[in-house]
Amino acid sequence: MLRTNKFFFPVLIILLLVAFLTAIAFGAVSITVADMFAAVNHWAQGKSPSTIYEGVFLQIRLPRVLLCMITGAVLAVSGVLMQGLFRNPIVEPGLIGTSAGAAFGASVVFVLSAGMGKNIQQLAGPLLVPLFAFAGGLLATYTVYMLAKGNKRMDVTTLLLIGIAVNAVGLSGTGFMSYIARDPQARSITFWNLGTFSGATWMQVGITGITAILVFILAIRYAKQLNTLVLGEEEARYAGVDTEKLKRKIMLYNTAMVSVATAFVGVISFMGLIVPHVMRLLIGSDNKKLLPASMIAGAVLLTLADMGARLLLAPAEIPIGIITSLVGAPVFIILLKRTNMLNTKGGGRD
Amino acid sequence: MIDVQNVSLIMGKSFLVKEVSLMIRAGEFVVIMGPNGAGKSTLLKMMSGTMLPTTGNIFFKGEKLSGYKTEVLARHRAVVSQHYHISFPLSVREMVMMGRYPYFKNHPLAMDEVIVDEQMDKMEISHLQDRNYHTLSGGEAQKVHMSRVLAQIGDTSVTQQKLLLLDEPVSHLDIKYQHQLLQEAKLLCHKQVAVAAVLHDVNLALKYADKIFFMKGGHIIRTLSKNEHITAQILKEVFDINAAIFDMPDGQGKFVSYY
Repeated sequence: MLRTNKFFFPVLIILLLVAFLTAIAFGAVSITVADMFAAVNHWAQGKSPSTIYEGVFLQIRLPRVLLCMITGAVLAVSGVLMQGLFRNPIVEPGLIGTSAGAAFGASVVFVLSAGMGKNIQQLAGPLLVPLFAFAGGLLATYTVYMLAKGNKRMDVTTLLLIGIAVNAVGLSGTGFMSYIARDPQARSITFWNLGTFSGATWMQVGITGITAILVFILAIRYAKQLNTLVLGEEEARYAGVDTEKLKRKIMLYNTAMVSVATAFVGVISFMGLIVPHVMRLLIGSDNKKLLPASMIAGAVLLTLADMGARLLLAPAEIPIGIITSLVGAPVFIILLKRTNMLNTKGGGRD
Repeated sequence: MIDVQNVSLIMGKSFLVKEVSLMIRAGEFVVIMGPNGAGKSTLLKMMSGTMLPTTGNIFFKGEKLSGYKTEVLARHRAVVSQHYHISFPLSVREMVMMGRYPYFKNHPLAMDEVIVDEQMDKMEISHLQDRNYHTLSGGEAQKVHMSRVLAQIGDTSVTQQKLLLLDEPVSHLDIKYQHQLLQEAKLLCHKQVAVAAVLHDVNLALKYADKIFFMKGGHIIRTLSKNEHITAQILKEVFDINAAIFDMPDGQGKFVSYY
């Protein structure tokens, strides 16, 4: 079970391609492979799209699918990092306040932007929600970090509990914003909290893509050190790992990834939980394999979920968070039961 | 190699370790014994560098232990702890390979693989190498950690001054492997490795130790060198038990029984 099959990564990559092509092809407008080639061809020659299909492909479908893949990868990688850091397989990226903080930031914009004055609105334009979400996520995570750190070594249990507390504050903040909001604004908050890819643009793809690639290159360098945390912090230090530095780095990377992704698409739950968990069952917990595997699998799964969001009630669209939670929660419970069974077998260990 | 100078550790208002001094030379095998809560593990943790003494100093190879960088220290000393809680499933081989982490950057070199194979052989766990750690018995798990730590000590064919700290390393092992594990540690001493082990079995200590430190209430209350004989009085004083001392059948040393 723990030895990686040599076909594992090739199969994963094929799944990614299949998911990509099907997600592009199906939707309100069907797009053929020929349309895709034609569109790319015209674009490369600097011409404008010649058919509506090419236009839909270039301006709507492609950025949406790409943003979806990047977000899926980001959430899954972040899940691996957080689970490794907290030494707990049921940890989600949003656990240390990032998502709740980001959600609060976004809700502030939805409700108060009218009163913010023209200058700010013009300056930031469509970036206003993402900027506030990012700031909120960063602020919440930083608060958790500082409170948990105290003046000594950061204790992971304390960190978790403070994360819960800060999440609660974030939620109540968002709740208050919904309470004072007018109906359409409250609806915006609700939708944002459920996540959606319907407004994907190339700029969003660019920003999240660059962040994701940068952070992933940085994070994979810490895969080995993150492995030693499996033994516990003291043991990791015996093995030569500066655990304080490791924790700071991982938290920073996670916050950057999650708040950027959350800022554009809203809160998408369970992805960061399920994907690393399933990958762990398939290839074990060596982060050198787990990180790339979860990255690809996250991209595949979220793309499929988004297809579901677009097609299930077409032409209407379901917020993607509803699908990830609805499917994710039962899967999670099944996995949890299974893991408990595995752990109680074997016996004799303490 | 390691020089503990008048070290105390205070937690809250109580002394866990009080004014302890000891020295371990390269190639020496010392055993620390004593009743529960005597401060044995705490002393070992201070010698490992993970706990800082409240007062007093520890010198490792002539330099202050607290001045060593974590990654440098990892190439000069290795620790088997009393308890492990492993958070995720890992294979036995992956676990043993962690012992080599201080030596390679991203991917293990051929030499690392060879050392991992050798150390798993020594503890006779090679057949378990693809098993999930979580399915092992307590004794098997202990052998895995010993293999990992032996791999961290590294290439044992060359002489190198390193420190091996063992906190109750044989608590789950059957009698054969209790001896096998301590025998491996003893072999390292011939290569200038210094070993400090916390043990509860007086007979094991008598067989392998060059020196035994008896701790009680945070103090070292007795030191027994190789050429000194254990007495019933010492055991009464340290453990509050009545002991009878016998000669080994081969005439090599003594053994102890209780009544």
